[in-house]
This record gives sequence, structure tokens and C-alpha cells, in this order.
Amino acid sequence: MEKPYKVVFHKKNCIGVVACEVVFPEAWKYEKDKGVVTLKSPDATKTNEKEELFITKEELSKFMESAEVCPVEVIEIYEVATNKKIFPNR
Amino acid sequence: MKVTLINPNIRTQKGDFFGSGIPFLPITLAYLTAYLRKHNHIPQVIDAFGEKPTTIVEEGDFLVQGLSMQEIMDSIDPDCDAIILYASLVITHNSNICIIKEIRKKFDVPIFLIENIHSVVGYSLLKVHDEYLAAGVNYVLLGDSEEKCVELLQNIKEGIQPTMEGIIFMSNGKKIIRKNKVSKTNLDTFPFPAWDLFPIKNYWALQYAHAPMKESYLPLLTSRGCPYPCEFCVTPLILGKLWRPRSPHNVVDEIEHSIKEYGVTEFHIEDLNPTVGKYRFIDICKEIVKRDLKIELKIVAGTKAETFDKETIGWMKKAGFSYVSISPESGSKKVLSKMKKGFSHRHGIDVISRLRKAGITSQACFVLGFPGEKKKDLQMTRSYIKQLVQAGIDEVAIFIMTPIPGSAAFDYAPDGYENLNQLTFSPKWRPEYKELRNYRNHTYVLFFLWKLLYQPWALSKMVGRVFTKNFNTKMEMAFWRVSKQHIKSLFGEKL
Repeated sequence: MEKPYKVVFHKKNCIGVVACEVVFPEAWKYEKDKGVVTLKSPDATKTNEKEELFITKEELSKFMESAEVCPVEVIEIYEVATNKKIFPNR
Repeated sequence: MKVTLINPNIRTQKGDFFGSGIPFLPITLAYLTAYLRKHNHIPQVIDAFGEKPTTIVEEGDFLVQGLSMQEIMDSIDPDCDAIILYASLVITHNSNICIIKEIRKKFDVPIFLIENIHSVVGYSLLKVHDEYLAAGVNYVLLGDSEEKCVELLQNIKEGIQPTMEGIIFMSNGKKIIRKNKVSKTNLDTFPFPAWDLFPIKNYWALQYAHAPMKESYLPLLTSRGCPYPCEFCVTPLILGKLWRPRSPHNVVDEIEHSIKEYGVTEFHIEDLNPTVGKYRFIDICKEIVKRDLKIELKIVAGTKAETFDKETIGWMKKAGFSYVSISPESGSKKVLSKMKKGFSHRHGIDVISRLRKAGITSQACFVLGFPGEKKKDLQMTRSYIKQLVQAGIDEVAIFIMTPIPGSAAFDYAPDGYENLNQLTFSPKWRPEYKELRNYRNHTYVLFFLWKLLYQPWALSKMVGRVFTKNFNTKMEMAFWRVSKQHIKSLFGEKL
């Protein structure tokens, strides 16, 4: 399946508001012991600082929604082909 | 040291019953009073509103409730060592200036001014301090006031110049401005608000409050600050987008303390965003359930809908929540982007629907007239309100954007006001005010028609509750308050 977008989650800057999990619980999970969220997908690459996940066109709108409600904008979304950041776009 | 703390009178802009004239119990001042007492100072509280809330004076377009200037001055302890005035709301700005000028004439003691850190209708003293210094204020304190006031009193006692952050004062004719750094102190270490020194029964006797009230209530702050960068709000500047929670155990300890000390079982949560950090909020609910407290809780100021969900609502119901306000602000994504406010309209509908199923009364707040908003954006807001009614919302509150000093939007919003008192949510000075007011009024009419169509029984119950004063919504309470005012005015009284 084609995955033309990439989610980059800057975990080290997450403050644990959990809004992403609230709007998209299928993708995000709160780690109570660490006080931050994490991507649920086993396909995500993870370090202590950052997590990345390639996503499909169908998944884009839900990931966009979870990125938009994050007050500290630690969820970025890129178009893979152009490496253009599509969120946040300011 | 003997310290006199003054809560100013409350002002209502005529006809603006949702945005002004709300009798907020001054929780900032109640926390400070308790903290001063803990540090062996002797606080005297003069609640210029709360002492005489039913005494009304008309001042142009405003009604002013509470003590007269002479009564305030006569109440001040002549032996006090310092006076602290609470700059609670932007609408009280001019009367605060008058109070300070009068104090300066009569008392030769330091005057501190503290800001309201818990409300979107407070304002940043960093932006308006010059007028206060000119009126006679010695120290303007920014952000959390508790530790600053105690340190400053110690400085005054020792005769040394303050070195703290978050203070503005004059020194040898030169203005010193030290920007605020948000306190990192664990909020659990602060004593509970000193409501024993405030005339809380006078507030209860009014029978209206920030939330629909029954007989008695107290406000509750489970956190301070907000992480969101909304451009219409002063909080990002005042508290630096830092959200600081209290522990669930400490919050519920305060609830138990209030039940025991004041016999109160209704609590109005006045946090800027109490549900941030979903799992802490659920833990508060679980702690209430564990202690088997029979209480009623209300989230009074619009919280972020995206910070709570089905699981949270389930626990809220078990803990005794009966009212929740959320803040979509606009139905237009474009306007939300201008506001720098992320909001999921889909999730907002889901939350309202779930609150309805849980039997929890819901409110949604909107702002019209944000800079750059077009007619089609207004229509999107109206259309979203209709969707919320279909989902089961109980009430809406619609404000007209006003630039609050300290908010990011203050720098680019329309001006034309003559003084800060006019910065209300019915800003008559805005050139497009009439158009926006008419749009707001029509939207309210449509709201009730949609209620009639989609929730006819709920609407008839609303009418019944106005007459029995068993308010479930702010709309019912406001209607009762306005009706009462009109009836009394027929007999020559003001309220």
C-alpha cells in the first residue's frame, strides 16, 4: 500500500496534554510512566527523542486532526515525495 | 505585617449579561489571603462587590455594584502596612484607577497591584502599568502573586529594593520593568483559599453566578495556566503557555475541606483548561468516587473539547459533574487558524452527544468578529451551532471579539474605544458592532428554533426551570436575572 506521507512526532517536546490520543485513539497511546504519548503502530521507528511513521492518504486527515489539536505542535506531517512539511504550515 | 486586600466593584455593561457583571468569587485574592496568613501576616479583606452586591449605581453605560468609594476608604484599616488591589477584569480598569487615586490621597502606605491569572477576561498589567503607576501604585506584580507579595513585604520591612522577577516599579525616577518568570512552585504546597475572610453568603444570596447555581457554591482551581496559544487570550503572555496541575489528591482534599468548613457541595471549576492531561482529570474523578463524596461539579469556563473523551465523561458522571462548557469559538477552520486555535469540529460534536447521553448539561462558547472573519465564516459558525443542537447541546454563549491588552490579537485588532472599560464582549465602539450584534441576536433566535425542532422537551423544561429558579443553564439564569431587573425597574429600583 502506498504511503505518501510521513508523521514525525517530536517526543522530547511532548507535554502530555493527550489531545492527540483523545481525537485519534487508534494511533496514539499515553505512556503514564513517562507522561508522554507514543505511536501505537509497530511500523513506527522510535528513539527517545523522536518517532516516525509513514501513512496512507486515507490516514492523513485523522493524523492532521491529531496534529492540529496539539498545543505545542510536536506532531509534524510531511509529503514524502517532496519532503514538504504540510503541518504545521507556518 | 497588616495587609489590606481590596476586590473592586463589579461592573455590568447595560444589556451585556453574558460577558460582564458576572459575580466571580475572587479566587486569586482568596489564595493570596491564605498565603499571607500562612506567612504570619495579618490580612484584612475588603470585597467592594461582595459586601454590598445589591447596591447599584448607574455610571453612563454601566451599572456598578457594591460599596461606594467612601465606604471602601472607611473600611481600610488605618494601621495597615500595605494595600493590595486586585486588577480583576479589564472592565473595572477605570474604577481601579479611581480607587488607587483615592487611597493615595488618604494613606501613606505602599500600594501593590496584582493581576488576574485565571481568566480570559483579565488583562495584562505589563501592557497597562503606566496609568497605574501615575495613579499612585508603588508595585505592579505580574503573574502568580502569592510568593511575590510575601517577598515584597519582607523587602519593605527591611528597607531594600525588590530583586524578584515579574515586578514593575519606580526607582529614583526611573521605571524598572522585570518580566515575569512563571513560578515553578508545586501548587499543592499553597494553602486552600481563605474563603472564611470573604462574604461568600452575599454571593450565594444573589442566586446567579458564573455557572447555573443552586443554593451555595465555591469556585475551584485544579490547575493554573494553559498550553494553548490562542491569539484572543491573555494567558499566553501572562503565564507563558505553561500548564501547571495540582495533584488529584490535593484537589479532592480541598473539596472535602470546603464541605466541612463551609457546608458547600457545589463546585464551579474555573480553570482555564482543567481537562488538559486527560488521565490526571480522570484521577480526580476517581478520587472523588473513592471518597464517596456527594457533590455537584461544573466546568464553568469553556475547556478544550479535545482533552476529554468517552472515558473521561464516564468518570465525570460518576464523580458528580452536571455541567460542562467547551469552547469551539468558530465553525470556520480558517478563523480558527487565524486565532491559532486547534479545534476538531468532529470531536466537538462527539463530546456534546456523549455529554447528552450521560445527562450532563453542555454549553459551547463562540466568538464573532475576529479580525479577518468573513460573512461565510460567520455562516459556518451558525451552521456548526445547528449541528451541536442536533447533537444535543443545551446552550450556547456568543461573544463579540474585543481586544484584551496582553492578547496577541490586541496588536492587530480594531481600535476606536475611548477607554479600557469599553473592552467588553459587546464592544459598541466597533464600527461593525451593529452588524455583529444583529448576527448574534439572529443566531440566538435560530438556536431556540432549532431547539424547538430537535429538542422540544428540553426547551419546555428550560422555560419551567426559569420560573422555579432550578437553573440548569446560564441562559435560564441570565433570563431570570434580566427579568428580575426589568420588574424591579418598574418600581424604580436598579436591580
